[in-house]
Amino acid sequence: MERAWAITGAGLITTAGDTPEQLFSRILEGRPPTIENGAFPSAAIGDFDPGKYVKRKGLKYLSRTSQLACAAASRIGSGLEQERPHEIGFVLGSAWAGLDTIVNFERRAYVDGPRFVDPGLFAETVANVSAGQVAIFFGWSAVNVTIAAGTASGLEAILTAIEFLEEDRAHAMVAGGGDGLNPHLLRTLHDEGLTALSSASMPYTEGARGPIGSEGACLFVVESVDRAADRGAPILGRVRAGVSRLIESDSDDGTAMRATVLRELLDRCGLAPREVDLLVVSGNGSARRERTEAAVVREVFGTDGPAALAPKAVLGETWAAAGPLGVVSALESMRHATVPAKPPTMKPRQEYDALHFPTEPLKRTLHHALVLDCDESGRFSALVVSGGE
Amino acid sequence: MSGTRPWVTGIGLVTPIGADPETFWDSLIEGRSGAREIRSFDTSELPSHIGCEVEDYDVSPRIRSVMLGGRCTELAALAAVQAAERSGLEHRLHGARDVAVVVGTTMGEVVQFEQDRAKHPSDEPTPADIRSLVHRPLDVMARSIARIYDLRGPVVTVPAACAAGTYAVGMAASLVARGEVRAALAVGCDAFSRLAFLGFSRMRVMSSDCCRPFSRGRKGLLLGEGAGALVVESETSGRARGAEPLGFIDGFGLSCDAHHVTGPHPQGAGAARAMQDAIARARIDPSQVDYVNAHGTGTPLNDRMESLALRATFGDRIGEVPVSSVKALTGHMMGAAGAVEAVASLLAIRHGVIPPTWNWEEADPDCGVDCVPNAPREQPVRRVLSNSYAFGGNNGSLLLSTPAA
Repeated sequence: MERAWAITGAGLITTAGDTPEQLFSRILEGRPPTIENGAFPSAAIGDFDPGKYVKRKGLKYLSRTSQLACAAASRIGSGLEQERPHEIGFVLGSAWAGLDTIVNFERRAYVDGPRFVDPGLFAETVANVSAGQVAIFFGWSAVNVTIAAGTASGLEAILTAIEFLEEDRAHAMVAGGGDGLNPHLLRTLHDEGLTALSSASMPYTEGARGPIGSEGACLFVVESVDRAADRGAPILGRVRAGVSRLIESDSDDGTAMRATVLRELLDRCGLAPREVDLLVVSGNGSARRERTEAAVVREVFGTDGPAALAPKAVLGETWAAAGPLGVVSALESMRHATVPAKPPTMKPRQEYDALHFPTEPLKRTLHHALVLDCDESGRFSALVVSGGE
Repeated sequence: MSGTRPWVTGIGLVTPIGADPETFWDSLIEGRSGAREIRSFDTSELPSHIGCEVEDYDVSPRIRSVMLGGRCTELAALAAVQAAERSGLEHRLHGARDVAVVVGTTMGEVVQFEQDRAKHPSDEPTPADIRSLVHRPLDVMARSIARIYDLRGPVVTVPAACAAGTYAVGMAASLVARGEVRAALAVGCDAFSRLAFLGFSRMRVMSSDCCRPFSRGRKGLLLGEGAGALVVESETSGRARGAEPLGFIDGFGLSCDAHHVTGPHPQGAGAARAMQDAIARARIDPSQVDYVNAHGTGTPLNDRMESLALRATFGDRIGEVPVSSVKALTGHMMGAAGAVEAVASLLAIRHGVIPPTWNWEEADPDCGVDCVPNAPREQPVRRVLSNSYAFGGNNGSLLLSTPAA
């Protein structure tokens, strides 16, 4: 990644709003999402109406993930509608794309009989169809790729998009992640002991067992800094470099390997650890994820590292959208020169003392942020972003 | 790209017509089809009962001990290990930080869910049924292959449906060409899925007897399963260890139709762009392509569209470019197809023989291509274009070159 890559647009749909400003305002408030307390806590975008965002027939037949991705794409800005759509590519990360429809399709095949299943429903079982729907709606046809990597999917999608830009496959890429709330999967995750037990569950906090399942989509326009300047597009931030690796070991060796990956990433960016002003962490209440994340932060930054921000305290677990929403949180923090305070009910355990979640908003200039994702399968991903204009 | 030109140094596959490259090639040349009565599930309520399933196979205890998934993962792992062994790189893979895994799939590990559901079909799905899905059926194959060799490079899953194998091979080659890794294991895979069978059946794109690509009166595709794997290595790395390249991946073309979620663009505009992109990235002229390994599903729409795209790419020379589809024998292996067909393309280069389009009966004016009907054709093959198309309008083409080029 020798060339500099600019983020010139951001579109998002979350429980905390559909603009970066609304999201950041919610993070500043420290107010968790509205949680439905059924058999287990979860947070849906209650009044989500895809027709509000995209004027096109057939939206109601799309999967929730497809609807969210299309809605986020409609919010992307950057003057992209002035560009030639066949020169724009699209990469969507999704952890669960198609799976909810797979469950519904199988159910209907058994209930109605195999000769009566809806062929349109079949299309939505296929993981790359959400990205295809976005391409149809917006005409972005240079490249269209879907990436599946759990909660790292969105970050990996951004990295893949930059690779395509490096290969001159598109003039600009739209990339990010999205996942719809999936009751079947959430119920099963809950039965497996992998979701929060209480609506009061908070990342890094005593008593948390797992995430509060939520949903959302977040996409960026990424293009070269030179091209953005040429067309007068606002530069919201710069993607410096990123990495994603699978390191399954929970032992000290695993921590050392993750630390090496992270140090190499910072080296590529020409940054010393002390130059990182903000850590956006992926903690969601899952003990394994949080132990892993805190350990690698301690290894690289010591106990005197940068201020930390945990967007999932406010958003819940948004799966593939989480990494890109972490990037938005970082860019907004930089723009406002403010590290938001942690929510009052988030009380990090002593063992996580390498993570410095402020109790009051910190006003300071922020140049560089590191967005992390440490998922339960051992995938470790990181992206360095710097401030915009 | 000096020094990082992507070599293919190992190939492996598990298909309905052979579980190693030699058997697979013999089947392609002799016309042995993988089509037979479906054994994986009950088809009595369905209009079609024929498919291309992989025969029984063995997974070693060593590999099984690190597998995170079921049948699709096993197919993928078998192909990957076969390719690694044949590349001579296997013993240099363990713990490597500069070796990637890139896996393409459509449905991934969905078969376990289907089998669990089949135990109590009249009930609502239970968490026990869905348990296999929450373990991330799409990327479990890539994670499992990384575990076999404790690989620590990038581990990428690209679910690009029926173009996924081509995307995996192309993205692996791109990682090598950019110098990000020394080598990559590229795998395309899918297991025989009831869900896919029902879906294609309801879309009325399945043949009830056999698959006849490019032939007048073709009725559609046969569903298949399998896995194909390629070890893609940088030229520098391959030369340093004295490896023998099977061919080069000199071009990877991509495009999206942005037209319809399941149907191809009627004029094949996106497919043509992908082909032209692959040819341009290989820095050759279309006249230097000796053979096109077509997507060639045998559906009326796909073969017509692909023929139009070929005409847009090769112009008046279209009748001089041999075009064939191996799907007549393998069935449509979905996410595996592109990787297996890349292997078939490399074998065509090695043997100087173009595998024919079997089951062809009569010329279709909608498909004005030389589809090498029913008999292999001996001729020098230096460069092959291998095409794949998918739901979502995803199009991919690979340009593979002879090691002598």
